[in-house]
Amino acid sequence: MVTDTGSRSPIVEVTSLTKTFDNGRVRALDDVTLSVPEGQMTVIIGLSGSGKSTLLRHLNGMHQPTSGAVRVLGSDLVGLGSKDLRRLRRDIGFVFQSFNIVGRLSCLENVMSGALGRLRGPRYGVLSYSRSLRREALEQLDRVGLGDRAFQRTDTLSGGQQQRVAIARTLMQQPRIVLADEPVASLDPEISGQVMDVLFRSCVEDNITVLCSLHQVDLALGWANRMIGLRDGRVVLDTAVDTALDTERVMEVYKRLDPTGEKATEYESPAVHQ
Amino acid sequence: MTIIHEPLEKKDVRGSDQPTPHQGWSVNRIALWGIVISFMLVSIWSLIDIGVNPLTLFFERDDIGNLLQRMWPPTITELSSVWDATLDTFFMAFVGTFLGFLLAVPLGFLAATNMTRFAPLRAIARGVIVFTRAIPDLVFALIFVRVYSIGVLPGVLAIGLHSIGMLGKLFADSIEQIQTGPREGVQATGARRSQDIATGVLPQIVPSFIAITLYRLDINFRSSTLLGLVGAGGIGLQIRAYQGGLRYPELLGVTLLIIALIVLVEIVSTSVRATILGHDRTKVGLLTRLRGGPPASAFARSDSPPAGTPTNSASLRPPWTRERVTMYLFGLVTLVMLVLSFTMSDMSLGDMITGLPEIPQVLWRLVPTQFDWWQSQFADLLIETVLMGFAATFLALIFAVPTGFLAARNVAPARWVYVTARTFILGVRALPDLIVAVIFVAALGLGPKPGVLALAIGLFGFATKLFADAIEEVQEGPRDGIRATGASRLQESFSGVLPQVMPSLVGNSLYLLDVSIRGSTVLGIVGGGGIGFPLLQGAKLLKWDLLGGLLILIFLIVYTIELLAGWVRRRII
Repeated sequence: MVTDTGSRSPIVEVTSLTKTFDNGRVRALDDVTLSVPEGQMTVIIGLSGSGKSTLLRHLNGMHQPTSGAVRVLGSDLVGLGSKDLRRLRRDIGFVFQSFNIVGRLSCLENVMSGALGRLRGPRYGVLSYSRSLRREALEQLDRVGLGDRAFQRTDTLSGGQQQRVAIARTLMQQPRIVLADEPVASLDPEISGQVMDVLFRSCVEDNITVLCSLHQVDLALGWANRMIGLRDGRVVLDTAVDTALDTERVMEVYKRLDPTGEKATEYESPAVHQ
Repeated sequence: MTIIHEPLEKKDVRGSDQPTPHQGWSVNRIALWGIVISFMLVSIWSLIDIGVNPLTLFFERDDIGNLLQRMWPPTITELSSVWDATLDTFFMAFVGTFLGFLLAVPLGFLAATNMTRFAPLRAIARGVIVFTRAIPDLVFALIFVRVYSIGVLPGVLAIGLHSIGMLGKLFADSIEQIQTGPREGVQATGARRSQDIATGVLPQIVPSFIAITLYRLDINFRSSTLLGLVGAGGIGLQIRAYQGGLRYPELLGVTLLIIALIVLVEIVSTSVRATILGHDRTKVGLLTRLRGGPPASAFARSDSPPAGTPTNSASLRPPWTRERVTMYLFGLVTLVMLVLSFTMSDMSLGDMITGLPEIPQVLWRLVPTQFDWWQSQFADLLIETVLMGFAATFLALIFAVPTGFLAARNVAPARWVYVTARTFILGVRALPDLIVAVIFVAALGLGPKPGVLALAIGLFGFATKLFADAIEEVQEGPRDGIRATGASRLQESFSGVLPQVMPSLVGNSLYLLDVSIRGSTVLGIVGGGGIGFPLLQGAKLLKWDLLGGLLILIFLIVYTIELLAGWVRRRII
């Protein structure tokens, strides 16, 4: 279990979080309780449908809990008004599996859209942002290694490059927390490693707390200092990574309880390379 | 293992593992076939009732030939007034389209489910869209000419108002089709709603909005040549004068001029659209295809980064890429055209601004307060209008289906056949159906027969283009599969192509019926039969109750057909 929480204040606190969909027919999260101190790099592993995305989406208010409490950066997210929620989201970056960048816009404009929370009024076109914001965005693009693509349309880039643009947009937000939902699930293994490096290195540099859900356990081992395993919406593993990690216990997360059960159809093998 | 019951929520029963040799006769399937068979029956009945058949044009060749002889040679006199009228026509279409765009954008947002959560507001927006689409611009023009007097202004307002229908519907559709991911990404940064729309939504819809509006400009230019027939300015006034004065050589001369201009506008608008939309093949016209495939889009993907932009020293201003130059040029041309419209034609911005707010009042006056406007002959004329629509659709389809196969690049037996067929339908499509109706009425006398023939010719061009485009969209895989079994070319077309295009063939046919019935409501204005004649009389005598009452009836008929057609299309596609 993680022991070094005492010195740092918790930045994310989830208490007895339960979420059901389709009028209770699907139980995505089942009584999840966890607390994350500032600066921690947490990786959440588990099968598809184990509740990883649902958990992350509760942390920036994209989902509202069926029951339980979610506190992020000292604000109670349950029943937060849309204005306060927007203000809170400025401090929470979100990196999506499908990148969710605006393909028709240039890379620079996509990165600058990360600053919208700080700005007043709508923006359209690179020139509608101030010169200093443009410079700042260019620096963020440089950090992810795409400084030379500033004015290229984002949908002309490869998947790994698009995700790096999305990371630059998130960094542009100057967030205190970054939530990354399977950021490399649609990329090939080599590119995945590069993108994870960019994401975690930048967050370490900026002292940003990271919660990242992943399929690939090996990618998780490189950066994380804590690992949480979810199965069928429950926390089944919560361990520090720097201590000797028991592979058996990690693999437990991926074991299915009942091969003939409903989850059996969704089975996919985790990519563990030893 | 035995097969357990499919849960009731699962809709796709056909997807079950058990192949059934017979398709069951579900209620839907019976209804579908019922509608298809009744379409056939009504069409055949209407052909008999109106007295036309697929060979009518051939049988009437003497009368039409005689008229053409009296028209020969085509001449254009009063060159300066024809030139002025042509400019008026174009500017009328341009400003009308612009007005329609301005009104349709907010309506499109209000009607889109992913933009407007409040359902009643959405329903109101949809209602306005459906109404303005169902009432032909010629009818709006007829009414506005009575209010704003003869000139360009009623034409602009009529075009603007009628355009809302198509533009608003297509705008709402394209807003509903945007990807939600990018919006989610923008919202997750803590952006406000207005910022979310500007950054997450606008970039996704701007190209299709421009392309749709350009397409509408093309359509509006066609119909603007006709609005003069009811006094709304432009070249149509000239046509009306020549028709009334039996000056046939000049009538033919101006008609040919109009055809040439319509082809020109179509070519320009398709190339601009192709530049803006890019690789979208269906929206690229004949000329670009003949030039050897669609042009590279201004927005096309280019895998190579802009050369020579080293990191860090990169400029903070966007470079003048082709995409950016295109957009700026496009904006500039639009602006110049707007300025020209108000300086070169007899249109005044002041009149427009004062005239526009009166429209709701004018429309309100049309709401009938009592029922003494009703005459029993209207029932017959309304039925005749619907039958004319069916007859024209049926005639057009008989010729359009085979021609469509010849005009599809991937199916046509030889390249020259394809090129000839495409050129032919481009020419046919440029014929404004009401001008053809004017000529046929002059040759064959008043009544539904010349009207149906004229309408059928217009629909034939439109239908052939739709079919050919649909055929060119088919996937190559299934065709290869059929060919690999050793099938002949004709067998390949029947088994590999036809099943793929069948849904769009039926869908397009129903859409044509919809267009056809809307078209048949105005044929009476030039003596082509149907409800158009009492409409014209009502407008002339300023009988608002009568006009309004007939409009409501027309709306109900058109809307019913549209709903039916939509229902069938959803079942089969």
